[in-house]
Amino acid sequence: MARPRDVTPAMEQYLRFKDEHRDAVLLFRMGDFYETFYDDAKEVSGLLGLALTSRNNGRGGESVPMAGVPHHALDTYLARLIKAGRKVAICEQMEAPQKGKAVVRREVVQVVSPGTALSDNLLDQNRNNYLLGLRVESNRLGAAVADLSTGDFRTMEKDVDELWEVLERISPAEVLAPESWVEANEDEMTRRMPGTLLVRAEDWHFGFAYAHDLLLEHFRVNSLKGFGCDLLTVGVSAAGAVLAYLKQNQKGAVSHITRLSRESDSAYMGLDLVTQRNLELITSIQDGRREGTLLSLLDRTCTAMGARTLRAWLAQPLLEISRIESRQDAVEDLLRHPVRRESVREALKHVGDLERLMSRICCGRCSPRDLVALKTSLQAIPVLRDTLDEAVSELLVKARCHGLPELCELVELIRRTVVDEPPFQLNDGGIIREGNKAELD
Amino acid sequence: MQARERERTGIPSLKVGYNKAFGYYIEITKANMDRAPDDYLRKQTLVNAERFITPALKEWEAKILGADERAKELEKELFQQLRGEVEAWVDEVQRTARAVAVVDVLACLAEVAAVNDYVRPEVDESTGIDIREGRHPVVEGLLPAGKFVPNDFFVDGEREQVLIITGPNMAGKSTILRQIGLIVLLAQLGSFVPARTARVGVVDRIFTRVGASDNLARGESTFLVEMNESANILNNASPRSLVLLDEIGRGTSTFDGLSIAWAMTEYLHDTASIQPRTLFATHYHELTELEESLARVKNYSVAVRKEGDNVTFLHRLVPGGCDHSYGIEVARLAGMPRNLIARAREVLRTLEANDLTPSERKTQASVSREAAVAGGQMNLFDRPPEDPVLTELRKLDLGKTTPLEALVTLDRWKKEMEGRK
Repeated sequence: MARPRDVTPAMEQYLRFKDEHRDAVLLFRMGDFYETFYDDAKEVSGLLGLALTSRNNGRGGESVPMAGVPHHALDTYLARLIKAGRKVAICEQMEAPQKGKAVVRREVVQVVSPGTALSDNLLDQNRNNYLLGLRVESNRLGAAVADLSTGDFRTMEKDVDELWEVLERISPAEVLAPESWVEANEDEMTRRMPGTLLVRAEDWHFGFAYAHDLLLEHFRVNSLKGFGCDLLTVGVSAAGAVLAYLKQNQKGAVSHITRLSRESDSAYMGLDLVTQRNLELITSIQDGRREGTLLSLLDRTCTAMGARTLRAWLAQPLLEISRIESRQDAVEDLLRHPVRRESVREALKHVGDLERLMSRICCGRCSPRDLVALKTSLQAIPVLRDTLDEAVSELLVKARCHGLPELCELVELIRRTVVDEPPFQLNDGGIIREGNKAELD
Repeated sequence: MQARERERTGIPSLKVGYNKAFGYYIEITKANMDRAPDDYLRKQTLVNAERFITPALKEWEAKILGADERAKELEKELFQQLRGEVEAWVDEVQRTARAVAVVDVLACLAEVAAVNDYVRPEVDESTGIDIREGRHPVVEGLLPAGKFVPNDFFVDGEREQVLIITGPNMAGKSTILRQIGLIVLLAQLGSFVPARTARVGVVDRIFTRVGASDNLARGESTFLVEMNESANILNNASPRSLVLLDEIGRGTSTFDGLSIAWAMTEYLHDTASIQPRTLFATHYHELTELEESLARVKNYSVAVRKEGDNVTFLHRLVPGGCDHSYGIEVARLAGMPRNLIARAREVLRTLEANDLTPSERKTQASVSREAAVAGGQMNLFDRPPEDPVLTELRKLDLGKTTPLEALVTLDRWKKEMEGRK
């Protein structure tokens, strides 16, 4: 975009932010509206059905195409942009307008893209939302996937021939790849995976040393051995690039990504997309809907985390007999004891989406209600654990003894500080329980 | 404030209100307008009332809102502090979430097994798959209870590696194919399965080539898509894989299609590095002839009961091929006009009278093969005979051969090969 010579201070500010976020639609807060300008405005007005107007640039400048959305409707419009596969940068006013001051201070507070979405109205609670980073070098493919909304972070190395199979199996919402790879593969990518946002990063983002250091620093470890990733090369490069991208988008707030796991080559049955479709595992052949699929038949899970895990298991049947048998043992354990099964399922119904609640908390995007939901969910955990008291199968015993701690301290911390039914918005006030700070009372 | 202003103006209905546009205001009904003091500044006119502000009101407002603002700021601060403290628990919460997810899925699988009467499959290292009274998990739910016809099924890498399933369209071949794929998949994800008993030798990959119509909408050549997918199977299958083929060669002419299907079956059977367990559903009943020439090919068909002109599909898998396509019966069931059906039968009878029965066709195929070999070409439907020189070389026992005899034999072969040119 050619930079106009004479612009108002606000437009100058706009152009500076737009320069930093060239691959995103920039929503620029001006009073009660988020405005878009130039090409963004033309595209957004078409996508969202907004009126395309123009703004006089002042000081004799030319008139600039403009389209805006009212601030209170941001969530709705944001969801539509993300679902259309766009990346969006949100620029807020950081202070109230003051008389005599030419322009208010603004900052890009958040970058949202299909693969880094966090809020519930952008996500399907029954499936993971993946960002996949890839790097190819001398016929080896490194692919790292992260679900920012749950904290899931994995990497793998494969033969480069398996590239499309990996992409189709994971079906990410967004793919991050080096510039050089995008140049060579953009057309095939759009043909095979329409609707997936392809984001290019400069090749050096995928450098091994840079990636390796970043991962060590983020996880505060001396080596990647503990993650089983110490011998990987392109897998580490891809993981580093993904982490760097998430950190940049979230302004560093990604503390809920607490581990990197390595997806082994030989742990799962191969199921390409053609076979998944033909067997109607997740979508039906006829019209791509959920009805009539194996997933819809099997899904009697009680939590969002369970629903996502079931879907993942379905696309990745196991090869190792001992692992298959431990799952069978646990299923048999619960099958033989209908009363226990019923109480387990009843207890599960009181557990909210812990993964996504925690992700929003760690990224600093939580509402007061999220904290209360976390508290209520955690209070249901001891109840769930008690229902497994007499379980004998390995997996259930392991869950009872190690996986379901009673986090009293955390529950108490939230209970003590936040009222039981706080408003949705932080700005509405009335969140903090009385007695927490003298000045408030 | 309200009380003070009421007293000052003597208007009992005077109200102090608040809105977002201009903050606190004083409202007086039109009837009392004449009693409004001079320092009241008009802000808004409503149907029945006027709204005013006063300097005193604004001063008071600043105090209230300031306190309110400060309180909100403080709350935000406390909230962020709490958020930071909660964040420190991320490891424990995520560990809990993972355990909850696993327990949830296991309880879900147990519930599904209980509701639908599934059994625990035995999973082992063999190459066999042995299912008794297996059902299609999704289709059985769509039919009234007890209406779904269960099927026994056995495939095994060593003895019965390639199953050719023939039978008319509509008889349920595709359902049976998918059913087996789904039972294997359920078994390996740790679920129980819809069957009376099941044993599954671990499958490393399931390949499918099913149906021909689903890509038509995308405007791709059906045949090309079909061949792409088939090539992928032939290039990537292993002896641990399970291959489900439904109607290979449908997207091209009958003879092309039959030829490709025939050659694919031979390839899957003969190529030692591949040899996957294969189920091949087809309406080419010619393929059943392969059972005689290939050791690990076995024919099955979907049972049909024919009484006069009436056919009933029994949806049951039985050993043996099917040499009748029942196409006209299917057409009749589909509601084609009666006189058309009658004419079709007439045409079929004529064709059958002039054409060859399967056994005659075979004789002719072998005759034409000899002719073709003589002409330096191979016929696709039969395997090429081995070169006599190679056969002799294979049989030669070097332990009982003197060096001189070996040289003489070699010389003879050399002359024989040259003589052929």
